[in-house]
Amino acid sequence: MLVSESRAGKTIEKRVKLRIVYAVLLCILGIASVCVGTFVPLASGNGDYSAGFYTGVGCGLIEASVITIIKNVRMLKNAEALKEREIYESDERNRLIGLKSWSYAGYAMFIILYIALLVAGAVDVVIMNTILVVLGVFALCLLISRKVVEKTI
Amino acid sequence: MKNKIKELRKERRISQEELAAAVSVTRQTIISLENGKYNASLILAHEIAKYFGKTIEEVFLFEEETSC
Repeated sequence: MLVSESRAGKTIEKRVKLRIVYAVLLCILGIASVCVGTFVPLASGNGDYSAGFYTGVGCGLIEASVITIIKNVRMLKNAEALKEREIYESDERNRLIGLKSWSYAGYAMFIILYIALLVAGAVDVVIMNTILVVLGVFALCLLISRKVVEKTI
Repeated sequence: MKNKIKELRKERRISQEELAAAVSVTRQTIISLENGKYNASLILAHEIAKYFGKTIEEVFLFEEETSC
């Protein structure tokens, strides 16, 4: 084998452990959201909607984090699954697919937002301004990312 | 970019799965390389060539693109 067995071991193990920690934090965030939705009286006019929203989002976060924890703990106990995951994540084609997908999604988002901006202009100025701000932030993120990546490559 | 991965693999009776495991990529990557849908990075090209005991030029056939 060209690539040593140890390479498949330690880095992925660290990453999986880190994912479990993130999932626990996410779970805490979910519990906090549910608590806000259930116990904290929301001041705004649409309090019922907000309470439902916070509870729903919180439950979703808890569910996703518990699944992530179970999946990753199982993986930690299975050396073969860990190795397979390492190959899947380090595979250069998979990485390229991920990068291209983000890139295409970014272009699509930009176009969709622009169309929405044109439509919103005829409907409501507030919506139009909101979309304009989102577009601006998106463009700014793109510019900053480009500058940061330019320095690293 | 064309390559001789499929020929070399068949010559040595190695499965796509075995080659993929040896160079630490997925089987899908080997399939894409063989079909010419994906061009390997320099590191992967080096690893594949090393696996077959050949040079990169012997496995990967670089063609100069003609532009008008």
